[in-house]
Amino acid sequence: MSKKNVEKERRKAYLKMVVGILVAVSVIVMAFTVAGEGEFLELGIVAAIALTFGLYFAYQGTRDLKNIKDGMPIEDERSRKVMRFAAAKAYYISLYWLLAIIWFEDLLGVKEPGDVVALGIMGMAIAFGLSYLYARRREDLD
Amino acid sequence: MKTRIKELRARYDMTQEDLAREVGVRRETIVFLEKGRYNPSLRLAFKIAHVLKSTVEELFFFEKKELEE
Repeated sequence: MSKKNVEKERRKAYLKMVVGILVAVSVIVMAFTVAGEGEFLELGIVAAIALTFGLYFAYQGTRDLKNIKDGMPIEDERSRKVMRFAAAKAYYISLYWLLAIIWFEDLLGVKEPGDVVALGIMGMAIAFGLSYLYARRREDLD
Repeated sequence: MKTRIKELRARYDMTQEDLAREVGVRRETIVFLEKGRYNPSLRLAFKIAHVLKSTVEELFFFEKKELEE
């Protein structure tokens, strides 16, 4: 890789790591500020999921920086195919997730529009994370 | 699909990281390629063949039954 590309890849790796960690921290802070009294279970679940995402981005960022140091790119044709495959799968899963939220709104106990949106986004993020882990191991990504 | 990448890589005393660096991909991609679990683009196949001083046909091959599927 040329020196210019190495710098570009390094900046991308740092950006991914920082954005991922910031999103995780924001979600945890938001959960603590909006949580009502006694909502410890919900708070715990949201915080655990956000922490998992944050730790994953931190770990992935460290790996990317190591790859760059070893002269390898952080993304290539296969990693881009994995992302596209995961995004496509996550899109379909998210559609059903959003429908499920609408159908089971009363059962879930979410009344506020903000809560519904937050639940929807959380489900979509989890869907993408799981789809990505699944796609990484797949052979036929075509 | 089967490959002879690992065999030819060993002939030139190259690690997976060395090959990945030479052809501009991640080490994980080389791992998947060697296990026959990833179909590379034509461009990547030619790059690998060039680095390993071989041909695409010699590096990548399908068994007859796989072609008949």
